[in-house]
Amino acid sequence: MTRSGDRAALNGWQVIGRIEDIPPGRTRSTRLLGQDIIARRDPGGTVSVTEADNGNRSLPVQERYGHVWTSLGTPERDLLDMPEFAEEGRRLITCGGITVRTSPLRIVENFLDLAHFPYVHTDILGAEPQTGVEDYKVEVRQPEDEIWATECRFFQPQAAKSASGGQISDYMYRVTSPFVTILYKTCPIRDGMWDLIGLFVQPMDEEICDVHSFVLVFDEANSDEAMLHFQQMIFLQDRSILENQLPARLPLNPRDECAITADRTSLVYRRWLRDKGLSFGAIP
Amino acid sequence: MRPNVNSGFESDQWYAVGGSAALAAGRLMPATVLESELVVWRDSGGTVHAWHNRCIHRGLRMTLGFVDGDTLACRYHGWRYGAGGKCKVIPAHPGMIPPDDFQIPAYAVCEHAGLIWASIGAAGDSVDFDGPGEHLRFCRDLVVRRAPERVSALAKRAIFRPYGDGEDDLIYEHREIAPSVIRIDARSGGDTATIMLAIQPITADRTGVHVLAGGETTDERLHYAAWARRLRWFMENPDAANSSWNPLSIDHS
Repeated sequence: MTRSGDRAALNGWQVIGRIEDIPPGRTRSTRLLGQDIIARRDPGGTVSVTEADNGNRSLPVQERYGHVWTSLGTPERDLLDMPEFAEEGRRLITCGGITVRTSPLRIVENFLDLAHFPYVHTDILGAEPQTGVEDYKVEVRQPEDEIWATECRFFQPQAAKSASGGQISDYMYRVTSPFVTILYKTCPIRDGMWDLIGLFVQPMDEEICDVHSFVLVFDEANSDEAMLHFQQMIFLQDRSILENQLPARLPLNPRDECAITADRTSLVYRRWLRDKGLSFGAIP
Repeated sequence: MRPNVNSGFESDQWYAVGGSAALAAGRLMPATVLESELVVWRDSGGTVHAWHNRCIHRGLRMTLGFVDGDTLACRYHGWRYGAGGKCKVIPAHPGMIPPDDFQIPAYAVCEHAGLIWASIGAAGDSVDFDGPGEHLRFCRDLVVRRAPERVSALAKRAIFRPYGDGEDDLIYEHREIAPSVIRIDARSGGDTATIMLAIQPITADRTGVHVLAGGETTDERLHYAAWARRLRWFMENPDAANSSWNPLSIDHS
């Protein structure tokens, strides 16, 4: 497979690893949108990224939110804004990349889904018989061109590492690019605050990606390691589903799969992708 | 990429996909016929179902799901599907009656001679051949890494030593008693021993072979199970040095 010609994908900022995945004096070879790339950090700490078969063109780079970002094209917009990263008292845990053999778009869609909690994350994020998905709001916000789903509520037996006993969790979902999505979730220990969980999906080829995730939370009780293990457990449950969806690529035509009211965020996401002309990892 | 039409493995035929006894009530198993993935499952009442292995909602393989009474549940969102593949329950909307077109394509399935049979096309009402009789029982499912045409040709020259018999004066007869079903009789004096091989075209280079053989005692069943293992090995290595262990060593063509 060769480099994608998908302008909507090429001109975005994409994640290629955590900051600590590329230490000073080291290089990291990876793949982005069908193109092999090499990232190097010089001894002074500056990262440069080039295509593996063309060392002369330096790609744009920035380090933000614990990760390294680049673009094969010309970014038309800045990286998403997450002011919570500057708030006092939050802890950031970056989970590292996990390779999943499916379309990067299937990863994002699964992340936006409430109804799978009782079946994929049984007795943790959901459980029968509390399976109903209440109505929620979903919109594409302008001018930022982001999808927001708000007023999402779901009963959860163990909503987070810091949760004790079941609770009704309030969620907001945000999609800022085809491959970046953030979840805002009721903080179990601070009233009125949101915990953040995010996925930065690195699209390698159309049916394989690395999923880089982070947690940005208020939590005074659990170690980084315990929170990392909780996130990995949840994500590996998702991976067993994601690698068994047929076809691997996300169908954008609403008639290709059966949808229900609870799937409105997914329907908006698929339409938003189609309106952008995004085709990488999709079936138009 | 289906085996070509001239191979004789048509979609409009019945193919064995496994032993009836190997699929208990409340269980499911995957099967592939001519590149099509199926979920085969037995409901709590004992009825077998064979469906397209894909949930209509988000495309998850139904073989990751679980049997819930007379329905099969998808592991992703718990959608329950009943007879004919019709969606019965959508847990995200507990009060909702699913629309009529929320349905997984269901295939024809039946049980005959100790095997489960499915057709991904328009086969007849049921498998049409005489059962092998009470003395044969399900022995083994084999998966052979060879083309269905090749395995079928090899099966038509497979020989075996009947349990408890010497090897003298055996006369073999091979008959295709139904499409993809090969019966091998070994006669010695007045006695006849029988093995039946039902061929399942999985992909262009993988073939299932479902073995029915004698099995009144444990020793007899072990005898034929060991034969079945050797049969697979020699089917995958047909050019291996000849050996008295080779079930394909005599060419009867």
